Amino acid sequence: MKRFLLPIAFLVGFGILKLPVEKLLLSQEQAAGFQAAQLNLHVRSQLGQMGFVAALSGFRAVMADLLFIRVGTAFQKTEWGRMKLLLESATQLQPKAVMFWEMAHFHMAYDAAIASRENRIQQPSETLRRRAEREYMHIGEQFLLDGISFNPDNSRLYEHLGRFYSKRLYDHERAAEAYATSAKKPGAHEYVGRFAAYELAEVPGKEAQAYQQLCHFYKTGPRVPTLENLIHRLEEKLAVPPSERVYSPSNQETVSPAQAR
Amino acid sequence: MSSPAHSHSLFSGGRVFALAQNTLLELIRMRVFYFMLLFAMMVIGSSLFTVQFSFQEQFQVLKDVGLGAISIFSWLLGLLCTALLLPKDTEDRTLYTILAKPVPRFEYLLGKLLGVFLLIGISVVLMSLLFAGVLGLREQQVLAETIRTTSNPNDLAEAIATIKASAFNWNLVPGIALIYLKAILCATLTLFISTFASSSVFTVLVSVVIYLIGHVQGIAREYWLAGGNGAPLTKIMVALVALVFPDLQLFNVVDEIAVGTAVPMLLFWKITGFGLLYTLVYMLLAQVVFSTKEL
Repeated sequence: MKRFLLPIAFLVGFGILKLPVEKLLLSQEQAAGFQAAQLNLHVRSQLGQMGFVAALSGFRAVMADLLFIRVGTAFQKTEWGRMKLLLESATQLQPKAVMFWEMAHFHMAYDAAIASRENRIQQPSETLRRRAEREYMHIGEQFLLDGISFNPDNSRLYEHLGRFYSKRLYDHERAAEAYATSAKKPGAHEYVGRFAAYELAEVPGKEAQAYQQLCHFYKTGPRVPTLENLIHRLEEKLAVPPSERVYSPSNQETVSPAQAR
Repeated sequence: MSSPAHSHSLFSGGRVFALAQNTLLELIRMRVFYFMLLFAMMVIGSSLFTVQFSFQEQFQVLKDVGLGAISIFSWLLGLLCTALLLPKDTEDRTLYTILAKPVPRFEYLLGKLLGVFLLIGISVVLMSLLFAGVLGLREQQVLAETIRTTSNPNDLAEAIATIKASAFNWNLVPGIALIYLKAILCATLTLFISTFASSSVFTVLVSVVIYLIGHVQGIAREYWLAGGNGAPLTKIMVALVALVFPDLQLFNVVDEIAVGTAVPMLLFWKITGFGLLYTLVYMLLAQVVFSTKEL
C-alpha cells in the first residue's frame, strides 16, 4: 500500500496544478469555436443510454449524423413532431454544422408548416391548421436564430433568414436587414446585397433609401431585370426628374439572373 | 591489468530503441493489430457506400465517420496492446530475461511504450491515408457529376470551389494529430494502470472507465470550481474526479474541424504541449510503481 501513496499524492498535486490550465485551454478552445455542444437530458432521451455515452466519449459528430439520418426516416413518415425533437438534438450535438441548422429550418418553416396548413383530412378547422403552420414557421425561424448565435459569421444562415422573412412572413423590413447582414459576412453571395435593396424597396417610407442602394448596384454590378424594373418603378413612384434618372427602359441591355451570378 | 570489459551508461537511447523496435514487431505479429486495423478500414471504406445525401451532407458524414473511426480504433489499439504488454512479458518470462541484463526498469517501460506509440502512429497514418483516399474518390465523383450537369461557367467555378472546400482540407491534419496524441496519452495511462493491476482484464476495464470519466471531467471540474450546492460526499467525489482524471474532452476538436472550423496553430501547440505533459506524468507514475514492484 505504501508504494501507492506517492503516486496518489503526486496525482492529486498535479491535479491542483493542472486545473487552471485545463480551464484556460477550454476557454481558449471555446473562443476559437470549439466545444460548443450541449449534452443535456433532451439529447440523452433522443440518443438512448449507449448513444449518449458514445456522444460523451468523443463521438459526438457521429451521433449527430445518426440522428440526422433518423430525421430522414421521420420525414418520409411525415412525423413532424419527432423530426423537431431529432433536429434539436442533432443541432445541439453539432452546433457548428451549418447544414444541420439549414435543414432544420427548411424542414420546419417550409415542409412541416405547409404540410400542417394543407392537412385537411386530419384537421378540418382552418384556424387550427393556420395556427399549426405559424407554430412550425416560428420553430423554423428559431432554428435559424439559434444557428446564427453559434455561427455568427455565417452568411448563409442570414441569407435563409432574409428569404424566410420575405417569402413566408412578408416582413420586408426584417428581410432587408437580414440580407444586408448576410452581405457583410465573409463568403456572401454577390446577389445578397441586391436582395437587401429589393426588400427595402417594398417597405413603405424606405423607397428613397432603397432607390439610392439600387442605383449603386446598377452602376457597379450586373444589370439584372429585377434591378432595372425596381429602379424604374421607384423612379416613377418618387417622381425622379427625367434628367436625374439612371435607368431608361428603351436603350438598356439587360443581363439575365443566371449570367449575373 | 583489470579494466571493465563494457562500460554501462545509466540511460541508453540505443537500448530503448532496441526495446521499442522489438515491441513493435511483437505487437504487429499479434492478431489484435490486424483485426483492429481491418475493422477500422472497413468502417472508413464502407462509409463511401452508405451515404446518399447532397454532396455537402456526404462529405460531412464521410468526415465524421472517418475521423470517429480513426479516433476509436487508435484508442482501442493503444489500450489493448498496452494492457497486454506487461502480463504477456511476465507470462513468457521475457521480462525476467530483459531485466536480468543491465537494463534499468525505466528503459524497459519507455521502450515498451515507444513501441506502442509507433504502432499507433502506423495505424493512424494508414487509416488517415484510407480516409483521405475515400474523401478524394468521392470528391472526384461529385466533381465529375457537377461538371457534366452544369453548363454556366460562373456557376461551375463556384460549385467546384464549394465542393473542394467541403472535401479534404489541410485543417484536418491537426485534428488527426490530436487524435494520435489522445491515443498515446490513453496508452500511457493504461501502462500506469497495468503496473499495479493483477490482470490485463482489470487493466482494460479500468482504462475504459477512465476514458469515459475523462470525457466528463470538465463538467466535474466546472461544478467543483463553481462551488456547487451538493452534499459533502458529492463534493469530495467531484473534486477527486476533477483532480485525478485527465480532461480528454480538450483533445476532441475534430468534430468542429470536420465542419470547417480551423484550429489556430498556437492553440494546437498548447493542447499538444499539455497532452505531452500528461503523457510524461503518467509515464513517471508508471515508473514509480514499476520500480518498486516485486517481480
